[in-house]
Amino acid sequence: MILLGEGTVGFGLFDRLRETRREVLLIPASDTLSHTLHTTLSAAFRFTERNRGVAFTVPFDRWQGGAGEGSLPALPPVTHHCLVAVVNKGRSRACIRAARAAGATGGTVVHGWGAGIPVNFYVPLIIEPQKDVVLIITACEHTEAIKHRIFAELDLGRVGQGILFTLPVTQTSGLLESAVCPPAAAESEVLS
Amino acid sequence: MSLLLQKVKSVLRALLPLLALVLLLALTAPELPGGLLARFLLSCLALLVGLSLFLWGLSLAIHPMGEQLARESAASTSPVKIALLGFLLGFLSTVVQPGLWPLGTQIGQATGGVLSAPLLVLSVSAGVGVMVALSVFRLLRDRSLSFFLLLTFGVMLLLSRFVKEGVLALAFRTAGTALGALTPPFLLALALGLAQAKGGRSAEKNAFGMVGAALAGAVLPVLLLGMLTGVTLRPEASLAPALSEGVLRPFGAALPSLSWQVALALLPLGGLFFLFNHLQFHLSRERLAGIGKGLGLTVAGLWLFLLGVRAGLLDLLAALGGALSGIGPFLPVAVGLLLGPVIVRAEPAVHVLGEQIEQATSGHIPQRLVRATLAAGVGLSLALALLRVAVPEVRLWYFLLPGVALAVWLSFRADPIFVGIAYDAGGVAVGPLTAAALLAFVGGAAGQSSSLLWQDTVGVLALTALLPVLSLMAVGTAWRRGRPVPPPTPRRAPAPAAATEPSAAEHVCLAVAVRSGLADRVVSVARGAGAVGATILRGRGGSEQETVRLPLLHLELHPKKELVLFVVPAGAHAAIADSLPADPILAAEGGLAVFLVPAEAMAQTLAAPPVSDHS
Repeated sequence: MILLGEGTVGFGLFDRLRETRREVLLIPASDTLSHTLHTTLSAAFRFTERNRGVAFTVPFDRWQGGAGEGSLPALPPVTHHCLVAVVNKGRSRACIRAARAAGATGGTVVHGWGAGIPVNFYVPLIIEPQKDVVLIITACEHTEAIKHRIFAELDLGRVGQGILFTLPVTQTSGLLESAVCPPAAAESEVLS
Repeated sequence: MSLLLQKVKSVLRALLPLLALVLLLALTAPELPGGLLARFLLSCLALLVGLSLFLWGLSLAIHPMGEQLARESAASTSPVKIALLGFLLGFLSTVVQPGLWPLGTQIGQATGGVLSAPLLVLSVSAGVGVMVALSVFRLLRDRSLSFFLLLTFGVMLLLSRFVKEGVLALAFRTAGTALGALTPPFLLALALGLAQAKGGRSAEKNAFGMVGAALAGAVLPVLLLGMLTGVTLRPEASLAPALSEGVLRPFGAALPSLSWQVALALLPLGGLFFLFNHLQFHLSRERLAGIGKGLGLTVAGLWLFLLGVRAGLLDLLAALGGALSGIGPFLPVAVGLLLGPVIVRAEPAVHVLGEQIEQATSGHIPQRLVRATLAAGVGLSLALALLRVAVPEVRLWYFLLPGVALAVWLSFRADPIFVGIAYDAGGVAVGPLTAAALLAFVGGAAGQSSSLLWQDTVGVLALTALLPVLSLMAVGTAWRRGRPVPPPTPRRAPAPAAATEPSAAEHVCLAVAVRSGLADRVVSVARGAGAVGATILRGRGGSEQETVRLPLLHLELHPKKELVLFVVPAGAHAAIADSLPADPILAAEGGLAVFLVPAEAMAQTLAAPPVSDHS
């Protein structure tokens, strides 16, 4: 599954100048395949260099119904978190700014739609409010700070402002946390 | 890589073929007037910088403006307001289009004052306004685009039987200028905004077709006026620009009038937007600043771009056309087949259309495919127009009548989204660069002495508006037939239950991948099972069995997919995950895949059902 998104590398004088187009790939893969993918993708896209993209693994379970019902995968050691913030369209920048203030390096924005609620205008419309989905990968120790910062600055406690949740990440490549300039956001994402 | 750099790169890719081909022709053609080549190189620089700035400005300003105004008219309870707003937007963006008033004056002279400039410009703008308002209604009420366009084209054909020869060509010439560089991008953004506000299954195919309608709206008033006044064109009338001399002087000569026209071009539309902002939108200062910056860039870019077109490119093309037809009557036909595609690639609106197609379809329809098809159509139309110059017995009707009939027939067979794209492509293809460049080349090839100059040269635009429509419809038909039919998803045996204890996460993130158009269904089913809110992402699948490869262009076509995200408290997920495969529609045609990830949500936000996070 391929989604179109935007990376946000940094904000300077020319805000929109630094925006970059990104694609986010979601690949369901087994554990071993995931490891291979990390290695090959890192080599092919040169993730070790700055702004080349990142890959990360989120453990998941495919719902089959029947057996194994209700059980979620046991977590391998979680090193990072993937923060997912679903905010109203146009707030993604404020979200990233808040995250950056709290120590995050960068994020990827994917545009999506909230589930529609029929509204009776002249033409009966199902208004699907546009949402920005912000993906931010952070190390575990920063998660709490960033989370609370975003929550406070975007006023997510109020109804209709958006939601925020984290997914466990067990493996990443291409994340340059020590770099002076924050690296780019996700280009490739591997769902383990 | 920044957005600007990306724009410059794509503009370079678009301009280089034109530069190379024209240089090759200029160096092999005998005795061109001195200074033309230097002027052309200078104008290429202006084109490159101008086009990059223009496109950048469009994405900063025109795009958000269109989106906001679309939302405003979609979320309105009164049909009068929707109609008025649609009319105003079409009218205002057309009436100040650069080059329209001078063309009106020229036509006034050519018709001996029967069609005066104000009459022509105002009626054309009103025509565009009416058609934009009608398309807004069509879009919001979800009426078939094919019937809508069948109707407009039928009226157009009918009217064209009642006007004197040359008026049809004149109408297309006017329409091309009336849409100009600014109206198509704005209308594209408006249609996309409307379609997205409306949402639902048909959002995608609804995002196109408005530019085509606006083109018809600009053609019809001229035909109507021509019929009512029975106007004829003076045979000596020529709308081809006269050759100018020198290297730098033409730039200076074009400057004063062009600067005025461009400076005025965005004023009414920008004024309307800021008025609405004051009354209604109240956008944040940051976003307004971005739009203001974008407007400035758009004006600067358009100014440079048109300067380059008018001062350098046209004269060289006209001279080349003359030189080539001097060598052999059929040589321009062959060259035209190559020249048409490279010219239209540099057209700003073609870029906008391509980007919008990719955006509206989440990359499902590759813009390369659309551009290549569009370019082929323009190349063919230029070649046909030049054939008509070489063999005067061939009439415009030979191509136009069967062409329109074929287009109408195909519009009922092609994939619906391509119908809209095709009509838009027709409107985009007669943009300011292509129209002027094709006219100059054909005019040059016809030679200034030809008595048939009018119909010969200007007929090319009618063809250019038609043939891309045809070529895209043909691709759309092929697309529909060759569309991937996903194999029925085999019901996999349940994986051996992972020998793990449930993790301690408080919430579960459910990611559900389905075929495009079924996300609404997923949401309503899941709501029934206890989910509160959901977020829908549109993308394309990369799965190998569902991918179709197009042999000729080396393109891979991916099926459209939608990904629905739910965040629910742990424990509630089982009911939802079970409810989805149980739904007959989703199970039968959904291509359903449900993934679960333990998640940790900020508790307050989910605490108070039934309030969804997207109310």
